[in-house]
Amino acid sequence: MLLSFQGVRKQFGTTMALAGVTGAVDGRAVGLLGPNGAGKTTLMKVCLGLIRPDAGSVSVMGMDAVRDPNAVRHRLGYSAEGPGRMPGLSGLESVAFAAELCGLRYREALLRAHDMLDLVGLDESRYRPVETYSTGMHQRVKVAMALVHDPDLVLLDEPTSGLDPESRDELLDLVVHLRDSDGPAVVLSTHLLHDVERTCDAVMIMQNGEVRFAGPLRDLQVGRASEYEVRTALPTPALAEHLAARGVRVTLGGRADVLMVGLPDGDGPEAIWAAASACGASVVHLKARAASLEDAFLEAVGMRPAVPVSWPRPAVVPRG
Amino acid sequence: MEPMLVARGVSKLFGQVRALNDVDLTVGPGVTGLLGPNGSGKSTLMKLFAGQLLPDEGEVRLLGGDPFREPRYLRALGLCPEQDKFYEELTGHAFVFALTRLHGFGAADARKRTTSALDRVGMGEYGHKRIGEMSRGMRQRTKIAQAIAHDPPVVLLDEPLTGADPVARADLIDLVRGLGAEGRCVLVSSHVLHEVEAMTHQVVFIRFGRLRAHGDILRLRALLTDRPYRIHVEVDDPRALAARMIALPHVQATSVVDAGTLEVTTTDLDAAARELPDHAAALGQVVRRFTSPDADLESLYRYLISRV
Amino acid sequence: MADGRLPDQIHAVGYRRHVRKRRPQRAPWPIARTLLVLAWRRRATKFALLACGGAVLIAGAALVAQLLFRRLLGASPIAPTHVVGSAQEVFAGFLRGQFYLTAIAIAVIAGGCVAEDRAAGALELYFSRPLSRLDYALGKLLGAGLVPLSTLVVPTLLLWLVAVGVSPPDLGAELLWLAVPALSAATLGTVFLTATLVGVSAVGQKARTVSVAYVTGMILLSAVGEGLCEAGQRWAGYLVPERDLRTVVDALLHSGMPSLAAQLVPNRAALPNADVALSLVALLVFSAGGLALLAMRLRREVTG
Repeated sequence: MLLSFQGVRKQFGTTMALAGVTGAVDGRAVGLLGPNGAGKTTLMKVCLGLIRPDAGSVSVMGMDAVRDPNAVRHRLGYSAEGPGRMPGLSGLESVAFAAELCGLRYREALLRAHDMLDLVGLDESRYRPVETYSTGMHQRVKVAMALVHDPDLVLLDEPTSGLDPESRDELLDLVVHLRDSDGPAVVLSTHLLHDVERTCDAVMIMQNGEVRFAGPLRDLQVGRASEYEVRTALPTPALAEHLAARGVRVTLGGRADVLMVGLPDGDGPEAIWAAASACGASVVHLKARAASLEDAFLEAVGMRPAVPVSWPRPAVVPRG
Repeated sequence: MEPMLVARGVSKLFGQVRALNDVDLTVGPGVTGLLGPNGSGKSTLMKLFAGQLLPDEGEVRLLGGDPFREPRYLRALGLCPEQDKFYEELTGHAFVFALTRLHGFGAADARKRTTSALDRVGMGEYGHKRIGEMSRGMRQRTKIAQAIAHDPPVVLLDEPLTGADPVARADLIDLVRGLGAEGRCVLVSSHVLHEVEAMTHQVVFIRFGRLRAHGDILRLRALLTDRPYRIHVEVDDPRALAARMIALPHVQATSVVDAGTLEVTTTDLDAAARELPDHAAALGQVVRRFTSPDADLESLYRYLISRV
Repeated sequence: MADGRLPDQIHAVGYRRHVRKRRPQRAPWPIARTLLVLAWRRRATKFALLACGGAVLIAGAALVAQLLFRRLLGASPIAPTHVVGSAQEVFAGFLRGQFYLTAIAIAVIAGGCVAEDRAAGALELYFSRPLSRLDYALGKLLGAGLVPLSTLVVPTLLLWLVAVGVSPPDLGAELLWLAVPALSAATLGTVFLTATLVGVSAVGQKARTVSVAYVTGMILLSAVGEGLCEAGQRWAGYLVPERDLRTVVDALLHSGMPSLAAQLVPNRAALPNADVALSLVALLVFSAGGLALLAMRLRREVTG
């Protein structure tokens, strides 16, 4: 198991940051997902031994993070959220210094730092002081610092926050690259579902200091009837009626000409085609829609807003 | 046979600036092109082989010896450095002669060698011109003459063609090929890819101070299996040929570029080259042109230098 | 291949695992080195070191001149002890002046050592690495301590070597003993300055504020202490670090060369042991206070 938590509690003053976190997750890239204030950062710091939990046990790659934080930190890389930096140092020096703090020798550290900065895509500005960096450049340096001592796991806390779309793409590509390489596994904390959907193979969803779901991404999506997105050339209420008459669950999509069709388990899209030809609707778009992470996420945190509605009897005369 | 130049785990830093990182390389006889973007460490590698620098880590071997600590091995080396710095007052002949004497040849011998070296680089007639009055191309030739006058088995040429005019370039390319054909180990760095391609098919790529690739251009291109080849074929009826080609397993796509040109995208250039003419012949068509715009050094370079 | 070439190959790009070539190094050293490298980039550092170097040169010149003068005159009746005595006084004066110069230098060079880390949010970056609080503290103390080591201890040693080198043969033995009090004073001063500065830095937020506060604090403490002492409050003398240092040195000088010391410092010839002990305790209490501030700060900012 990459990370496993057992009843982890932490209280800051009157705020309960972690209210008994229990759960285990494994994978090459794990998304730590949750709204702001869910306790993601606190949980990461607990993994690093930066915060000692009031109760509970934390195991990182089989090591006890509460009792032996130094052993854990040797194999862990951490990219903190926020503007923290080593004062006065250039990007290159920051990364090399981070490597030296993990025991690399000066030259070894410099060469490795160059490699990591090439990887994260920081060009000649690596020789400039970090104070002068944009958010995107600073974020790259932080990720390079997390990777430089070749850990077995990197914790990236909100690495995409404040990035422009291009930098964000590059960063997410890097996470995918790490996931598929023989390098460290990644834990990516974010409040953006899209980031996780694109890069991760496992997810841990947190809310109010508790774990709502932990496991492989695909487990989040099982047990859902296959749903199809259907668009017709013209709005065709007859199609919906036809399908509904066959006992198929039909929901209105965002637009008049889009239907979300939930077929019973085991049924293929043949029923949709048959219905379309029966009522003369021309289907121009038909696509199986995997239950998106967003639905699962909202469900997991108990905030699912869209309750399926059955299609009302149409008042419009079908096209003949 | 013993490789003539060897680098084992070589790293070099200048202050904080990384020049080379963990380079493992052997170079044998023949011409080898040394390629990479500016600042990727090409000149540093040359200087390490020439014993002008000591690696921070790893070791460098010139004919089995350490060129930095055992300078006697440098007799086997001819170096044409990148910088355009000379004794401006000397004539070309005097310059080459003096440097040849430094290699330990007697005056008569050195004079003979100087003359033949200047002849070889096409400077025979201009040997008595002062270097300060020479054109960039002539200075470049003089520099090369100096590198080969003592008949070294290993020749390092750092950007030897810069500043030479087109005729001179053609001459110098022939000269470099000749040096390689004589069994010398010639390492040439250049930015002009088609000129490197004219000199040799053996190349070494350096990127971000690391060895990116080394070997034969076409074989390296074939190793890039995730990058299919595009082939442009000129025939009378491209559509008919397209229909046959798309059925082949290695062909990914065909498209008609214009009335007489077919573009075939394939993962196997070799097979396509063998099979396409047969298919054209079966249709009674003649292949008037067969080109692959991305099988050359230029496209290989682009692929290898891109970020990931 | 037959000719010993490597086979054609394209090397992978992207993340690669790191194969450690050398045994790991301990963390305090890079922390100290980085502190000094950063300080060296500021002009103020160079000025401070220049001032310290100048003071050493002046003291050296004075010392050599006196000893050569004494050597040329030989064991003549012209008050030889006075000449040697003034060599001792050069040492005492040098140590006294250099102590304050070093206080300024260390404040300028290392004033921000902990304060800036705190302001920039670097502590989290440090302690997300395999680094104990002790490693961090040792690194900062080492970095800051190298300043007084190079402006106080090393120059003292050099001056002493020069003095022994050019001294007339009959004074050799006496000058040899001088090393003990002089070097003890320099070392004690180093410990005191380092510990207190790092302590003040641990409290502050900005490098400049820390530097100014430290130097003004030191001057105020000395002035107030001396003033009160002269006004009859003897206890206040212990508040003056440099005075405490002098007391310890005098005691050491006394124990090594009672006769010479009696001539040199006649008014304080009979130093009560209690005085010496109290001075030493005062210095150590100051130093311990600095360390305590640092420890408190680290304990508050970093858990685990």
